[in-house]
Amino acid sequence: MPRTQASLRAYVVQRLLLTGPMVLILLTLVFYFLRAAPGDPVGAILGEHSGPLADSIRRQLGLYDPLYVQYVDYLRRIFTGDMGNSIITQHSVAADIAQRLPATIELTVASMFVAVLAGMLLGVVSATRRDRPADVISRLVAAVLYNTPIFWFGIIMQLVFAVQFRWFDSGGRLSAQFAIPPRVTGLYTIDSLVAGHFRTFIDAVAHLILPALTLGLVLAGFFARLVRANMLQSLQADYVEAARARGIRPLDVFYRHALKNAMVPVSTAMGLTFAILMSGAILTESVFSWEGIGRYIFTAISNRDYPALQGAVVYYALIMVFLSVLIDIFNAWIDPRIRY
Amino acid sequence: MTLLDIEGLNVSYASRAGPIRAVISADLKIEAGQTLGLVGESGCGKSTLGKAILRILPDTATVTGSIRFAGLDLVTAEEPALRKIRGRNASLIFQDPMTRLDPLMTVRHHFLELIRAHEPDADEDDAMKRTRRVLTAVRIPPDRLDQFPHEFSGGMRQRIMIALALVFNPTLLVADEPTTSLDVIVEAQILQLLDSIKNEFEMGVLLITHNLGLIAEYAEEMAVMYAGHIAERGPVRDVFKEPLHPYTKGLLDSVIDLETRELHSIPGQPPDLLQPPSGCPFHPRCPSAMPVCTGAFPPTTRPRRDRTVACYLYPG
Amino acid sequence: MATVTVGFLRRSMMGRAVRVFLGESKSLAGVLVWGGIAIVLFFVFIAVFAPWVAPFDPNATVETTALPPSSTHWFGTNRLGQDILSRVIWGARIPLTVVALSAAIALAVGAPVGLLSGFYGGALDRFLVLVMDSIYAFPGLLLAIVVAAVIGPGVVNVSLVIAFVYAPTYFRVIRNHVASVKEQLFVEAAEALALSRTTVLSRYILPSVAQSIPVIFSVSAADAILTQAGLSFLGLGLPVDIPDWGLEVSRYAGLIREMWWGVFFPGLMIIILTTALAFISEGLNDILNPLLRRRETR
Repeated sequence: MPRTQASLRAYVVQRLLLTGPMVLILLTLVFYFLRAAPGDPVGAILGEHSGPLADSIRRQLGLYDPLYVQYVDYLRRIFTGDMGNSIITQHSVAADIAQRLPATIELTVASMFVAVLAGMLLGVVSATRRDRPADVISRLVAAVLYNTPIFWFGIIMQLVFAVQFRWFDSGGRLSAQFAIPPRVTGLYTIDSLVAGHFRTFIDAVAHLILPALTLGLVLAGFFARLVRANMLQSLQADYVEAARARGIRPLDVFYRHALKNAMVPVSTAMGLTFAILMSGAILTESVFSWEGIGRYIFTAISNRDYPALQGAVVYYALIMVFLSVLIDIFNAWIDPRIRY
Repeated sequence: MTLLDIEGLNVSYASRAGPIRAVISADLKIEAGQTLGLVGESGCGKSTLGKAILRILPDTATVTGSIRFAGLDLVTAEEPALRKIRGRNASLIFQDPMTRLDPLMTVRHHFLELIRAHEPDADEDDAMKRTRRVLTAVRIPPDRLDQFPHEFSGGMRQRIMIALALVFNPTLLVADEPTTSLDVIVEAQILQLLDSIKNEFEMGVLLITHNLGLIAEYAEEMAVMYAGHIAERGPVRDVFKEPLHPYTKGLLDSVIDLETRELHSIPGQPPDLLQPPSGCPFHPRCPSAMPVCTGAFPPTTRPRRDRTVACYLYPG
Repeated sequence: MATVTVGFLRRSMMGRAVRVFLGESKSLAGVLVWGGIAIVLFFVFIAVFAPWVAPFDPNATVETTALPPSSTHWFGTNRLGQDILSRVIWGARIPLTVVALSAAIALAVGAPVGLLSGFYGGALDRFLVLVMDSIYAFPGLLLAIVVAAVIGPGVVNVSLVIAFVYAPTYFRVIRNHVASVKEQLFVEAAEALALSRTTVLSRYILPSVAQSIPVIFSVSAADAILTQAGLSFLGLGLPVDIPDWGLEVSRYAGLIREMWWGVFFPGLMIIILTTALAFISEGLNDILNPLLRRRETR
């Protein structure tokens, strides 16, 4: 249908146009807080030291320039991908982040998988057995999961499954005896398969399981509530009753009509889900020594590595915006009504 | 030949505030090729009765009595048997076409799903051939098969609903306020369409409406429902000429009289089904109420040929 | 006559909300709300009366180090020989203070801005919505990290950070509520009577909007506590010597093999408190959102 495709294209363009101001607002906020806020960020970060080191850092960061010069310079650097050098590692922040991004992607994708699976299960059980014991239990489980501090949950998972049962290692992405597979995607699970190192693959998966469960199950609590609320509405929808009246089998009515329609608002809320996921990833990576961007942020905080923190935050923000645009476009593709 | 025979049908809903009796010992018959108009105010249980025939009431509903159709008693029939009947032998069309089609499904998929549900082995070409035939019958251009429901107007969606109802040439069509949410011109088109289809396909139709005008025009038999009870039944012509039940009289009077330009209405409100009045539920609003009316519900009598009424004014 | 009708409509709306809420006390939603409130009040009680409730001085060495839970030390002792139960009781003060303070700040900023933005509309409204939505869509913890890294540790500073993260939530809900209430009949009626804008806003819109404040609070309070705990865990929230649940978890995370109780109990307290807050919001949502109520007859 050319008409449908054209409307989808128009929607994508419109959505991208809206993204511009949003990115600018976020970048301005980060700039404001990390550079222009009253007080002296370098002093705050280096503590009481204000000797030649602080002075040279200020000069290196251009903090003696007028604010608008700093702002324009800041934006220019972001769009050319230059985020300065980490004070601690002296590497380019952009390179540091590029190196760590695949780890974060691997973790978040795996967690999302866990979250969708467990969340849908809980939510569907709840909605189809409304107000019965199964519903009450599922809702309770979902509420507790979503309200569990991720870092605590991760530590307890380590205690139970790594320390007590010794099923998994308690941190890192790969055991020391395995060589890191040649980089193709940077995702160890995929790279090891590409390289044909099957035992490395098993080891990478084993390392991924605990952090992905930690982050995924917490997010599943959020998902479950969303799925339940929307299922309750779609199960009562007129088209569901109409489908029943046409003799469609209950399972087909459930999956093809009720569940599918309930997924529309759920996937619309994906942007919010990703925000929670990205917040959780910072804590999960910190607990499991998972060398991704979240752990990079954690290390930057502990080391008071200011350019690294700023760079990581900016990249994180850009990834978020990029994902939310992708999600919206995906939704427009699923739900024909959005495009109009 | 009697197509549908309902006897002593009761439907009640469980609610937190207690049971709600929506249909109370209702008797109805529909002959093949005949339209029965079921009329009543909103909330009188007429929609529940329509849905009870196809047994698509929510889990909170309890159904007793008998509904004989297609050689089965639909009250006691098992779910798989009921499913074979729904959409194949008996179809239902609803009041609000805007929300009755799945917004995420193209028209093509609605038909394909329906045909596959009843004939799992049907191949797509054959299914589409039948779809085009019924779409043409309801005057929807078949080239719009791949569009989504939101791309159609309300009247067109109702035609699509009707086309879906006709795919398997059902012997019974339950039309629950099929035109209430449509404008007057579209209403006439849809009802004429239904009428011509009824004759062409030899269907029995249960036309549920609050609009006496539609009954006068399109139905042969009629039944008047009040607070879950069938108050009066008979041929449309006779009932309009000589309404027996005071409620029927009130309903007919509340249509504007063009000669005197007067509009009468029935005083009072329809009763709360949770706490209906004792005896005949109409007695608080009835101009001819007698002491006996507050006691028990009046027995159904047959004061004229082909007519039944439940009122103490007509003792057996 | 018209004024009477308008006043009646307004009163009956508030009255209905209260009646519905009381009437639900036996339903699941009612149990959730009342149970959640009871748990939160319990934590408020032990926090306020910590000096009397806690069996030991939280900062004193009262035992040999790292004892497992026992009848004298229900939650065990830590490496410094401090009683963990007492530290957990004192630790309730931080999250509760932060939540109360941050909610007050977020409300003080988000609500009036949302009220005016929704009421007057226009270009400023669209701009504010864009800014607030951008902040809202951003991962809350990351935002908190950025702000906290700059303004430094401390209870008041953390409250400011959390308020900054949740002000957009107050803004959004209140702005959208005002925008929808504005379209409703009784406001139109009031405007038709040529009442001044201030009167319409304060007499007719504010009371209706005020209903949504407890809902926003209960929804964002649990998240606020988790964010505060997360900041503490990352070492951005508080000076190190204050007893705080998140900080305790972070401090003994490395010693989990030797003394699980040092991590387990403070974290458990966070879960109980946040889940109780979530129950309140879930219950309120069930009661106040008629869309989700069961249709009993059709």
